[in-house]
Amino acid sequence: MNALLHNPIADMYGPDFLLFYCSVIVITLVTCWRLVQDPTKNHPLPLIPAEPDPYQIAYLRSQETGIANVALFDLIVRGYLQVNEQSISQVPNHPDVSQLEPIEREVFDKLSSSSTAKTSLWLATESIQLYCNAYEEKLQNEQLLYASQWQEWNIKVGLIGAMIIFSLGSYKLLIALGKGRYNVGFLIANGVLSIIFLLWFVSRRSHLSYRGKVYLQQLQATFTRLQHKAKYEMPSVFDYNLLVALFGIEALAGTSYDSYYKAFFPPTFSRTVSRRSNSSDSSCSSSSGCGSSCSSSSCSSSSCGGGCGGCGGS
Amino acid sequence: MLSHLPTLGVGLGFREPFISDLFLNRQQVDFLEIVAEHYLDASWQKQQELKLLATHFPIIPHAINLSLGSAEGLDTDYLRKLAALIKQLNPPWWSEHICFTKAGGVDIGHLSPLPYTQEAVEVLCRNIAEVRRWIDVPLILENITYMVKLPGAEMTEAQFLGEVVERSDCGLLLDVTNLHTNAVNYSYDVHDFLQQLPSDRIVQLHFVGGHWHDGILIDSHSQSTPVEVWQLIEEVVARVPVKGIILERDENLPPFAELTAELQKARNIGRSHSRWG
Repeated sequence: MNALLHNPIADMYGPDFLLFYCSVIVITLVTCWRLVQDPTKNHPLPLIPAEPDPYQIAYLRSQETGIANVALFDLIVRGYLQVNEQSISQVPNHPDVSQLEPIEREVFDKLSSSSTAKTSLWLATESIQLYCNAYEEKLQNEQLLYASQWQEWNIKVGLIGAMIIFSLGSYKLLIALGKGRYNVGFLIANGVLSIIFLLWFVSRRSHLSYRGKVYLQQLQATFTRLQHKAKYEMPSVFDYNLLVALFGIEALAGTSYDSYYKAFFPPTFSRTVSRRSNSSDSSCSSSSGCGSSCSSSSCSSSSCGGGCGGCGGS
Repeated sequence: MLSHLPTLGVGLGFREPFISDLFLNRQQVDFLEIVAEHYLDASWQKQQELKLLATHFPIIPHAINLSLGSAEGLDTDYLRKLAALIKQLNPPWWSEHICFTKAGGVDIGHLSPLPYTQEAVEVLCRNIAEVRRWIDVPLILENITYMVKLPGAEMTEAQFLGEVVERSDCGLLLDVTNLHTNAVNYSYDVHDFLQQLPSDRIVQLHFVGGHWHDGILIDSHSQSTPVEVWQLIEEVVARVPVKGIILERDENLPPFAELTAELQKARNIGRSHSRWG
């Protein structure tokens, strides 16, 4: 008992102990930081496949929502669905559904009635859950996603670190209180803040592993020209799908499928007004008045060129 | 020395604007040729690009500005960087042009022809020997086009090319389009020219199309390959076990499908003579 109450730490002078405690905290945090490093950091990246799968890439970028976006957009480009202002619906005389992949068929069937773009996306996301598991597993096997066991390990490391900080701080706190010293605010603050920081640090959830993040960046850098192609050339359906998989719906702004982009990101009122007032702006994508000429079923097939001509500024 | 080089097949001169299409049509491109100068003092992005290309394709560095024909010798600073790049890529061979691009410390900015003289051969061989001290990867030399014929020639262009590659023990990168362009502009028989070349030294071919300007055929790398060049390719590939052929399109880039169609045509020519698959 005597050794518990009288030892170098228990007898340490307050400021000296605080210095010692801060050192322990720093060492614990650094050790934990090193232990929770992503194990894929030094792994070589996988090769870019000769035939990249837009659905797999979409899952890598934005999970279920990414896949739903690609499936929805694919159905629009191929003439199964159409965009009408803010809503998406089936094209009455759509092509034969037997040409659709199972995942696309699920989405198509789910959208039997017209709904807003966001609802359509939600419905599509609901309908593809089963397919997502296969992509999850594939990407997990390639260590592109952050594995749950790594997350569990991180939590363990964090808890051990927090325990060290907590134990040392609590011990000294009890000793101090036992000796009738109550100037312990800084000690408590140090301990509590460092534990909060440590637990936040180890419990951060990342969808992608380091390898996954770098691989996605590499894919985006490699296929970045698709954005230019979508605006100024005639990309194939596959090119469009890959574009949406890699860069999201935002990449469709200013392309032939601007109406689809606007269904999700409608122009704000002030922007519309300011653009309407600018008579020199003849861009098709600028005003809602023009938007309608490029939306609806006219954009539901790949025949919609980049033109949307005739929407001059007048 | 050259027969052991691997057969690379049908490739493309890499240009950044078609990187996306290149990766979407990867199976139709067996190897890439990069312009070495683009990666000598490369930014981080260019280094990443080179790393990406090198992990997906065999790469042949193609240098432009070494100026092997300069009587004053080589720029060792440039040579050191080029050697480092080639070491990094470890290609089966690399290439340069039979020309000079620097004189009196001035960068001409153009591939300039050499006089077809023994003295020019000596200069080239001396410079190539210097290059070999830095780079031990096999070097192949390319014939260029020219707008002017230097006076005082002691031999024909074909004899000059042959003399240089034989004496320096280098391979020949035969630019079929350059050959056609010069033959058209200077009215010589391209088949006679081919007969005079040491065919066993031909390792690789370049091909593309140029454009006409004021009655002169310009090697602008801006058009699809003309029929005359295809015929020449057929003739060379039939005679020589060419290791690789590169489409070298730089300007007026067409949809990528046009490039792959040309690659497929070159592939078919090679296949018909069992040069590559």
